[in-house]
Amino acid sequence: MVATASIIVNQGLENSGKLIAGIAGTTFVQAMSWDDNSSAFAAAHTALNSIGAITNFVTNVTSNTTVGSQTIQWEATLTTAQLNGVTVRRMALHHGTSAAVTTASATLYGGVDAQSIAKTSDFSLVTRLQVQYRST
Amino acid sequence: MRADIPSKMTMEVWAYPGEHQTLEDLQRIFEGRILRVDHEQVRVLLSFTEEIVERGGRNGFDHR
Repeated sequence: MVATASIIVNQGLENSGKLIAGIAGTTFVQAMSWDDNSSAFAAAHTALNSIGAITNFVTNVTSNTTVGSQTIQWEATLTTAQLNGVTVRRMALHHGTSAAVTTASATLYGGVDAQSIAKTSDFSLVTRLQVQYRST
Repeated sequence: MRADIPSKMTMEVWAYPGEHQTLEDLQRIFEGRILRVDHEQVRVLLSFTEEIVERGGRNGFDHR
């Protein structure tokens, strides 16, 4: 099994709180990205390039966002035409639309690193990230 | 006081065959690292993680 590590960054949690509070201007999670950087996400990160320049990067809009009684799931597809020849190492969720997300945009909500998937045109990748909430 | 907090984050990565590929092609491409083959939906599971959110300590959660 591939070793994985996931995180919701501080900024993501803060943004969730702002949405609950109805703070104007707070954006929803609407985009997912894939890149080939082998560094780990950390709580203080706000953008993909918080660990340095990102060379290979693609962002797509999330689809099939589903909400259960205590879960939210985002799904997005890296198509057969995208990131071919690149080893995908990180997937991330972002506040804002895919058009607004760059490697430097402070839109990071959270993600998973430590992946190793050599992308080719032979397949597409569907990534699902689900956050479960619990009342305390 | 009640508050909803993230308690678990789960990730799945599925590979679906391209236009000229089959499920068998994918099994050959990813031989040895497929976690599950879903014949019904014609896909293979490449990665899965389910991590518990621990409260306290650092801000945010970070499980490694």
